[in-house]
Amino acid sequence: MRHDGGLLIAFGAGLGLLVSIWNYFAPTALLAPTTDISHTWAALVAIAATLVLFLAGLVLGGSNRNPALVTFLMLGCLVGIAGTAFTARLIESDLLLALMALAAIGWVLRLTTRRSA
Amino acid sequence: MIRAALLLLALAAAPASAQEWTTFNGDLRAQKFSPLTQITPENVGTLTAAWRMHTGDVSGGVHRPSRMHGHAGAVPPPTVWSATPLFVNDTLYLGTPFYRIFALEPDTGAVKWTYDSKSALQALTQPDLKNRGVAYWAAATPAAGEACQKRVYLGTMDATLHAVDADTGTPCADFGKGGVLDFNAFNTTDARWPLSLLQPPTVFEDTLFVGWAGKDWAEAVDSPGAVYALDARTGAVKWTFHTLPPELDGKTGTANVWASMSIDPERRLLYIPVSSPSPNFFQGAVPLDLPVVTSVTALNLDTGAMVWSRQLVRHDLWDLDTNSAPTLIDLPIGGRTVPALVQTSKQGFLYVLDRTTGEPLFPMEERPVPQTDVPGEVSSPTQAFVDRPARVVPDRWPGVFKLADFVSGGACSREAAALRDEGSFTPPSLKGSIIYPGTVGGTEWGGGAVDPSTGIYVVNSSSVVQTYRLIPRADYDAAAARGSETGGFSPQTGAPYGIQLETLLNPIGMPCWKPPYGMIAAYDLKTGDRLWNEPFGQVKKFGFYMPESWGSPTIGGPAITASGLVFIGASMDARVRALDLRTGKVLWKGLVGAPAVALPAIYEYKGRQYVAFAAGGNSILSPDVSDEVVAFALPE
Repeated sequence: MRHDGGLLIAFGAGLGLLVSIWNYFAPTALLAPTTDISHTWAALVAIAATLVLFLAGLVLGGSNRNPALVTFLMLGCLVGIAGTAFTARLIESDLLLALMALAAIGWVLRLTTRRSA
Repeated sequence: MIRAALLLLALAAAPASAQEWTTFNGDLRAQKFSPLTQITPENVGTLTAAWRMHTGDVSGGVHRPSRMHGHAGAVPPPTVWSATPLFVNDTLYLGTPFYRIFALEPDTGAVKWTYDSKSALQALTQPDLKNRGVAYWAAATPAAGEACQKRVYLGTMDATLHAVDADTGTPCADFGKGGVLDFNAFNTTDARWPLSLLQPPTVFEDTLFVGWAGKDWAEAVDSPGAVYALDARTGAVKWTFHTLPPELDGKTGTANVWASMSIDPERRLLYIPVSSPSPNFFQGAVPLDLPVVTSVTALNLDTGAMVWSRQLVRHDLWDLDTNSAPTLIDLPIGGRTVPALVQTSKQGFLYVLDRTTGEPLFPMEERPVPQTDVPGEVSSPTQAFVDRPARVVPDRWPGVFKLADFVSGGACSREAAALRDEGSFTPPSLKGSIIYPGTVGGTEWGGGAVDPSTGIYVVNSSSVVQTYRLIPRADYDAAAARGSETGGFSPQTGAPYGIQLETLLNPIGMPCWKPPYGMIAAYDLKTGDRLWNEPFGQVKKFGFYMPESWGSPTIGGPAITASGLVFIGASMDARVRALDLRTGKVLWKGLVGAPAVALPAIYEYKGRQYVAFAAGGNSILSPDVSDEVVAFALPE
């Protein structure tokens, strides 16, 4: 039993995590040759946010039936996706911004669709 | 007809070899203009780094020691590198903040030779190790087979001037003593500090024109300002111009010339930007009507005799040093060609003067200004205002930024309300005053650039709100004794007051004033009209880039090409940019190692046009420092 929406959040956030790790260690942000956020607090914030989103997405994509936990994670993901998207804007990472849009679609799917077998 | 005449004038004013960039400001007229046209607004988007090189001469100071590499031993003070690369003699020359000279291949960045002055890496007069590059001289009739017919000059913070052969880097034995002139030998009156040589000499014919940098925020009495004309071969003094009368020895000092100068070869005039007397923020011992200080002044370059002097700030209580070489240009005004100069300023005015007389070409009006209430101080009843061309910053500070105020629980509003704030030229006070623009505002030492064929002038500026609070001597000394003297405190030893100078920030470090924090503007100097005025640069903090509409404070200046481009670094975000001269829109960005707080050099070598930046950083803007030189060009 799984939730495609939750898994889409995890997918977007997981890719976002990889992008953010690149951004932290590489001299220029991925696909942004005039943006340098390597070894900055901003890049660390993006790594932390996408990691948390990734884990939350995995939980939401799984078979957890605790409604309180699901509600908490859904609210947390909403804030996390919005916050990470804002961070992506400030670190000028269009790729991370696009992945947060993908995660947002997952969030909507998780909210509006039933689980699939 | 007028355009044709201007074009002829422009051609006459162009560097002798049009593809070179021979001085700190590109040429002696400080136009920062290149006639090159290979890079255009249409193709600049494809510009790429042709080469990058690292000198190894960089330090983040003790707080960022990892930023230093390549040097063993104790961590030197932080570096501030503002060198304009020179392209001349088929070589790119740079000075570094470790006081070395690099000679590079202009098309690859490969090192031809280096010279080490072995200067002590100590911040003797500045908080950081600073360098703004080197100067170049060539003999008009070189002696065949003899060394040092072409020379490169490097100054140091500990006041030595080095001359080396431009082809080999070997010291020129006939200059000073073994190629080194002890400039501090001139430091004979009220000497507290070395006469630091951070700005490269201005070179014309066989003469070096040299000013120096001091420490006028620390002491009330300091070495009195002077400009020296030195023999380019021997270093012998040809003449000396003193900015202060001898009767003020022991009472004040500085009023020095620490920035670059410009030269009108036809009229044989040297234009010097003169700074304010010491100490920076209390002038109780300085006569109210003292001339020459905080001025732009013209000297006969053969004799050092003063031809005219235009004081820009009367009885300067704000450290509004005249801080850049005036740009010289001939303008068609009123049916005649007027030899003009444009002087930028920290106070944000653009002074357009007849450079033969110093008389303003657009009205300068004396207006009443707020008066000091500090015991022992006096202030000038009026200051000169210029309405045309429009000031590069607003007349009053932009007001409290609601976002910064909100996130700090109203701290910005409370602090602003507690300060004296009466607009332009509000004097420092005991309770604290809002100073706008302050000592880092308006336009810094990069000055502006001009297209001599059109009279279009481009200048960047910073909108920074500072607070000045004078502290009575006993209170200041007691605070210093308790160990609480930090950051923006300067003793002004010998004066009745110390100073606390701060930028108006909220407790989390956000500017308390409304953005934009930096602009770039274009003016038509023939009419004084402002053609466009755009936010420029971006603030980068902790890796977050603030919106482009906020702009960035800037240090460094622009250069213009005949193809209609403006190249400029200067921003806090370690990017260099190309702008459309017609609109001010950014057409291209490039990433460099740190804020490029320098003027770019534009040159052509083997048929390819390059735009080179030294990306060194400046602790006033950002703690990021670098030792990178980057040359951009179109793809081959």
